[in-house]
Amino acid sequence: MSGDRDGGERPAVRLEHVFKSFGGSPVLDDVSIAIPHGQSFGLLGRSGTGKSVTLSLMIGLMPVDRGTVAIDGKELGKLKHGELLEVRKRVGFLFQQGALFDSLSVRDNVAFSLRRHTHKQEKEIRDLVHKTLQSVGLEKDEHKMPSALSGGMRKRVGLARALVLDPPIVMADEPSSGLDAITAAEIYDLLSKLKHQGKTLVVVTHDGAGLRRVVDRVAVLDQGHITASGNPEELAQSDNSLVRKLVTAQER
Amino acid sequence: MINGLLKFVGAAGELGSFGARTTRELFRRPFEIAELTRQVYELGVKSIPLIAASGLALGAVVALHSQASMSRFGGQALVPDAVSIGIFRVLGPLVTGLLISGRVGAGIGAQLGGMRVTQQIDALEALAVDSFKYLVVTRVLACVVALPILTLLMDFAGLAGGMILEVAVAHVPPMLFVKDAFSALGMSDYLPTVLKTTVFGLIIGTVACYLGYNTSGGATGVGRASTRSVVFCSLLLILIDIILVKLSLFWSAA
Repeated sequence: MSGDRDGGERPAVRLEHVFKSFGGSPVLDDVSIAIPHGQSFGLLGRSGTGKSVTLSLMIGLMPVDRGTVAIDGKELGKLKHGELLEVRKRVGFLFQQGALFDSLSVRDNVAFSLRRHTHKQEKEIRDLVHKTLQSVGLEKDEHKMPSALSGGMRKRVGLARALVLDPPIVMADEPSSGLDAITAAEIYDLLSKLKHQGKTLVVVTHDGAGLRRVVDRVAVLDQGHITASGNPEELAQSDNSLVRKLVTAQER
Repeated sequence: MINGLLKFVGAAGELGSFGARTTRELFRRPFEIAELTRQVYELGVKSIPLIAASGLALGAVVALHSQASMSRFGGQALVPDAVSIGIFRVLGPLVTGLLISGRVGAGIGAQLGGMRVTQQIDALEALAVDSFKYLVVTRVLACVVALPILTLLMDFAGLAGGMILEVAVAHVPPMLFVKDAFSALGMSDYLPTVLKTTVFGLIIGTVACYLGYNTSGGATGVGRASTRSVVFCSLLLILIDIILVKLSLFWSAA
C-alpha cells in the first residue's frame, strides 16, 4: 500500500485505499490521504499522474472504483446526490482553466452560488461580489465576460467564485499552470492568505517551488502511489531524486 | 456488424435511461423555474422569426403547387382546403420539428458539449448545483412547451402565406380564403398535432441533451455532438411521425 496517514479524528478530507482506473489503465492504486482541518496540503506529481483525478474524487465529481472518500467524516459514496451537493457547499473548488460560465459576466459568475444558496438581497449580493472580487484584484472587471479575460484573470475570478460562500475547505487544481511567474506568484499569495485565515487548503500542482510557499505538507504522487509525504523543506532534501526534483521544480 | 449492432442497442438503452431520468427529475424539487423561463425564451421565443418566415414561404409554395395541380380539372376553389389540410395535418408539425432540430438541437448539443469539455458542468456540480436538473430537465421541458406553440405559429403563418399568394395571383378575396381554409379543418386536425409536437419536443430535447451532456473529446467532440444531434433528431422525428400519423388515423377512424 502506498499511503499517507496522519491527522486527528474526522479529518477535513480523507481518502482511504482509493483505486481508480480509466479504460483498464490504473491511475490511482491504493491511495490514502488524510488532511486535518486547517492544514494546507499539496499534492505534487508529474503531468498525467492522476493529481486532478484525485482532486475530482475528493469532491465526488467522479466515483472511485474502490475505497473511501470522505469530507468532514461524510463518506461521499454513501450519500444521495442531494446530500452530496450539501457537502460540496463546504468546499470551494478552483478549476485548472477557471471553468467560468461563459454565458455569464464576471459578476454573475461570482454571484451564482450566492443567488442559489443564500437568501441575500440583490444589493447585499452585489456588495459581497464586489468585495470578493476586490480581494482578488478584479473589482474593475465585474462587467466583463469570461471571453474577455486573460488566463490569470480567469483563475482569479474562479477563485473568487470558489470563495464567495466562505467555505472552510478550498481545493485548487493547478493554480499556476499556464501563467507567467508574476501572475502565478499573485495566485499563490491569494492561496497563502486563505491558509492564514485557517482554511483547509488542498492544492494540486507540478509547480513544487510555488507550492512550498503555501502548504504545510506535501505528498508526491507517482505511478498511482503516494511515494513520499511530509514537510516540503524535508522533501526538498529527499534521497529520491524524483521527489527532490518535483518539490524544487518551478512552473515553466 | 455485431459490434455495431451491440453499440447501437447500448446507446439506445442509455438514451432511454437518460429520458427516464429526465422524466423522473421533472417532478422533483427544485423546479429551476428561472432557468426554465430563460430556456423557453432562448429555444422558443428566439425561434419565432425562423418559424414565421418558413411558414409564410411554405404556405405560398403549397398554394402554388395546389393551384397548378387543381387548375387542370377546374378545382381552384379547393386551394384553401389543400393549403390548410396540407399544412395543419402534415407539413406544419414535421417542418417545425425539423427546423427546431436544426436550430435548437444543434445549439443544445454544442452548448452542453462545450460546457462539458470546458468543465463548466463539473463547475456547476462543484458549486452544489444539480447539473442534470439545471441543464437537461429545463431544456427538455422548454422544448416540450415550445414545440406545440411554434407549430401553431408555423400553421397560421403557412395559411397567411397561402392566402397572400392566392390574393396576389388568383385574386381570391382574403376572407373567402380564410373561411374555406378553416371550414376544411376539424378538431382532429388541432389536437393530434399538438400532442404530436409535444412528443417531437421531447425527442429533440432528450436526444440533443443526451449527446451534449455526455460529450467527450474536446472541440472535435463538441462538433460531433452538434452534428449528431441534428441527424438523430431529424431521423427520429420522421420515424416517429410515421407512427404517430398512423395512430392518429386509427384514432380518427375509431
